[in-house]
Amino acid sequence: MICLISGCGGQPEFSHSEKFQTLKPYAQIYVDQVLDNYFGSPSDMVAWDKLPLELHYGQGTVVEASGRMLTVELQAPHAEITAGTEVLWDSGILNDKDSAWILEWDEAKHQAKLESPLATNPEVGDAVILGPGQILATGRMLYAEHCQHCHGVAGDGNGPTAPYLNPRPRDYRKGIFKFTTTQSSKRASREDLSRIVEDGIPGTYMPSFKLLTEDEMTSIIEYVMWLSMRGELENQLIGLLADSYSVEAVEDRIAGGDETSDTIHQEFIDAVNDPDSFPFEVDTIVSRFTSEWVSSQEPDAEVQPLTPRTPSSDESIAKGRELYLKPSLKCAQCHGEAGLGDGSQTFAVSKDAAGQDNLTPGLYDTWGNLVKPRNLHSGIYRGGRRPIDLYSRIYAGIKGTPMPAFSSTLLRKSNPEDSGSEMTDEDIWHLVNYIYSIPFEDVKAGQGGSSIANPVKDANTASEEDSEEVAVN
Amino acid sequence: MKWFWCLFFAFWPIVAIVVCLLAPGNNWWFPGEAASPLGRRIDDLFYMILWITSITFVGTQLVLAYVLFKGASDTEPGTANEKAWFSHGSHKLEVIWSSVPAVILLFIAFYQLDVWAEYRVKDAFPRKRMEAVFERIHQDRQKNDSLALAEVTARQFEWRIRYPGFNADGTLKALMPDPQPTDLYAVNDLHLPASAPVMINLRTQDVQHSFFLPELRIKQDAVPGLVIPIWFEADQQRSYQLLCAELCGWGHYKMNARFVAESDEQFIEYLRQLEREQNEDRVDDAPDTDEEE
Amino acid sequence: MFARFQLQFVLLLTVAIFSGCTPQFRREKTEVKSASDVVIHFDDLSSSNNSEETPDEAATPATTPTAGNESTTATTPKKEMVAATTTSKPDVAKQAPTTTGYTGPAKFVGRVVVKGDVPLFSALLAKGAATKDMFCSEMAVPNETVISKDGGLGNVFVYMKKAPRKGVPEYSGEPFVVNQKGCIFIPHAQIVRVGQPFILKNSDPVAHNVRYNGFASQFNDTVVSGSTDGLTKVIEFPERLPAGMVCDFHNWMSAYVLPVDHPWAAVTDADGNFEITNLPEGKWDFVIWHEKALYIERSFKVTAAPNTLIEKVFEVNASKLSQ
Repeated sequence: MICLISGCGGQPEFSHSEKFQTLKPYAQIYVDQVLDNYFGSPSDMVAWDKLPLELHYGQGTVVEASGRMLTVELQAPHAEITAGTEVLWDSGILNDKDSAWILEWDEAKHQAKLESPLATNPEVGDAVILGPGQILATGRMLYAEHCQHCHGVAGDGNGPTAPYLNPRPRDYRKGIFKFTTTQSSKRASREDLSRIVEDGIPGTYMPSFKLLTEDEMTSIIEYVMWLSMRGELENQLIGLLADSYSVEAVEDRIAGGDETSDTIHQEFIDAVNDPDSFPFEVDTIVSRFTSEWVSSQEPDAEVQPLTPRTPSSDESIAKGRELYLKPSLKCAQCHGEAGLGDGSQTFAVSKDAAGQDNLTPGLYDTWGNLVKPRNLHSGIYRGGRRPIDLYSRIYAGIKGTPMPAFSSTLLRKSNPEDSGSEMTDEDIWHLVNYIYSIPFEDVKAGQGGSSIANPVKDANTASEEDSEEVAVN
Repeated sequence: MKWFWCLFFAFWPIVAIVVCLLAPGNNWWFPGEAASPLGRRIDDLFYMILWITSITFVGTQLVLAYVLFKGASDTEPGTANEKAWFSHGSHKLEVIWSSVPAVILLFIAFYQLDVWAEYRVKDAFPRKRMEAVFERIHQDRQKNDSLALAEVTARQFEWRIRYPGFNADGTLKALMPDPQPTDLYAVNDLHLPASAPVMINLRTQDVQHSFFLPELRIKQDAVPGLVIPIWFEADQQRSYQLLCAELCGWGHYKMNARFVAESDEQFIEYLRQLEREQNEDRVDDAPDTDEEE
Repeated sequence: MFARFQLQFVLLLTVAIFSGCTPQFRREKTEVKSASDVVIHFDDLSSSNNSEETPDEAATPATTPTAGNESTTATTPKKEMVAATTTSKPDVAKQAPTTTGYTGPAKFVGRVVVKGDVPLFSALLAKGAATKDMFCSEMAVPNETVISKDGGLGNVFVYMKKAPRKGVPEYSGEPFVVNQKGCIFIPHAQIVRVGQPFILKNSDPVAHNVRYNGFASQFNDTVVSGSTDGLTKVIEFPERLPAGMVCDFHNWMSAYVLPVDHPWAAVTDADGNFEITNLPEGKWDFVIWHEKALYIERSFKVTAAPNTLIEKVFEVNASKLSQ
């Protein structure tokens, strides 16, 4: 009863990012207004055409329309169209008129029987949207069911269960996702996102959602990307406004001389209404992340090994270990010489984004969380255990974390003497083979012995072999 | 007024009896027909107990109704108007109604023994039939190798599954207690051969979970620190629900997975597919390098 | 008995409905509309928020007179010093003075100097200090706050806040190099044109990575040790503030890079001097920013016309540097 009365009432709202509060109230209102116009609220969403997302069931043009029958040509691929799907007229004489609703849908002919006959027939070639925004709407329902309690309504990684989790759920609002198989400068591809949703992230609280259907998966991925874009626009816009219109900046400017609170306010209002000022900036921000998301979906954004995986062998593993301990690669500095994730950098004091020393020694990610280099003995591979996953981790790094991309360091000429020889990625495969072998360092395949490695022994061997490499930090 | 109460208290037993008699035919409390031989035997046990309790229930309700109406009519005007009398117990009755249930309970205890043993006692597992499965799917195994075809590890909040990998000669390896480099992994999707007893090893990574196949009537707690063998046999080649039946945390409801019973060939093909996916290196022109080690 | 249950049920339902506790997510309410033609009007704010502004205004003049005296700033307690630095220039006009007698395109020159007692900045890594890569401390890693003998502050970014919409000269395409040598980023502060090839090199025998942590874009790559070709990156998006670059293997290593989409930006040299030439005609906002002092000017207005030379000395309070 108490819960019913007090706890669960009201509509969900998108929360603001932390920096929102530093803005002057009028700038806060502007941020809210921009977000509300382009993204809406969780219960009244806006499907913004500019975003590179699949928001509708289908888009196409009218082929034939008369009475209750409507035939359309759809841009493939499209989601399943069911009875009750809305038909929104996007151009032609019916543009801005009431939508029609589908009673029956013939997938083979792309023909719909409408619920009521059309008063005016659209012309051939008029644009129609089937189920406008429905993918987004479905995505939100599924997100609310499966994701929201950790990742938060706004995708800020701060849902009700988030405080109890370590590692923290991902905050999408930076547009950065950690486990991708795209180049280091690219974002996540849809395939990367859906694989994480499907398989979960072992070693964290992200479970697998294997039983989602393909359409449900599409909806969730599109919604997550939508949230990420919304959050990124919010963050970037706040960053832009904070330069001149945060409480601190305004105080600074007033103190600086000939400006007053009123002139700054007036300047702000002028900037808002000047299409060349803030509206242009908003457009620039959106165009920027839009183009980044789009280019990350291209095939050439994917990490593509040059050679097939080198078959695992004792020799390859030994080469991998040699590379692992090499001072010019410094794997051991974070992951430890025995691969236990206890390298010297985990004890070193690093600096945060503002250049201040972090309070706890260790490594931090872009979100400001203390992260641990992976213990390679656990046999748990967060971003997947396929060779391509490990290859991508080494080749392109883990985005948003101190794990850098080694693409430039590990790719080399296949013949060092001959500068004209082809590039080879053998070294990455040796490292991958070594990493695969670490959990089994004292277990031979087919033996059922204890898999718990002997860290003391490993550490000793490592430091004996490379005594000059022992950390003195 | 007293007749109202007589009818009132007689009404509920009648409703209960009607429901009790209708229910078994409607499968109200079962998630569908039992889909395994063991499940049917468990259902039989259930119905047997239901019969015993129903007969007892109907009997006691009849006695109750008789006493109610007898007592009410005895106090009607014009009757003998007997005064109620208090009894201080009957030794004979006490013995009867203690020993009858005891006999019934003993009967149930002995009657279900073999079902329980077959389900739970390792020595009574249908070893021969399981080994026939290994034969059919060409598993290369030693005498003491585990009978399990997969290891299911529950964790908050998903089921992680580990299958043995393949040998170079194409035979399936035996499942080892510890992870092997060749092992194949899946999550929330358990595939095993149908129409034959198959065994899994159940473990948990964190808290207590419960491996629940409602259609097969299989339910077994996963206890931290223990590896618990469970066997089951699905009649049909189709997909079944796999749920967690132990409130294991806030995400308990997420532990919804699938158990797919399929033919031996499909099972091997599934493992082959897992192997292919797991060895994905995105270089298409080298199909030979898929083999690991 | 029945009636009571029924009553409770109805009561519960009524309370639930009236308290607004309807199910949280209603599919039919999730209305999605197209936003392709959204226009944002924002002229109704001046009236609604003016009242909130008055306290700010009232508060500011009160602090200004007390902080006017600049000579005492370095020794006054910290709390007042902060106020002093932010208000230290009320007597200097925001609009820079122009020098007559100069011919040529508009030019903006100036100097950033430190006011007050300059604290002693110790080296980030002393010579011979014990560290994991001993060669790093063969030479001391100097502190990155560079102050010349006569108080000029180096590594200060001076840049036009927003590029003009038209008339921005194309970039010639000459690459720019950041080297990592002796576990130091060289140079420490640098302007990069958007789209300019940006070559990362590593002259050290150990691995360095470069984690570029911009607001608009990020990357994190290792650089081959002893590499001659280096690794070429291109920063595609301008930043409003210089973006930090760090090496995660050596915690003291840091650098700042400012990608801009115009040529009117400069970093002060070791003496604190800067020069921005070929300014187009018009009124431009400049930002002056230093990694420790942060904003020295948020928007310094420069009016440029042919044959004008704009000269200005900017002062930074020493206390801001030691934060």
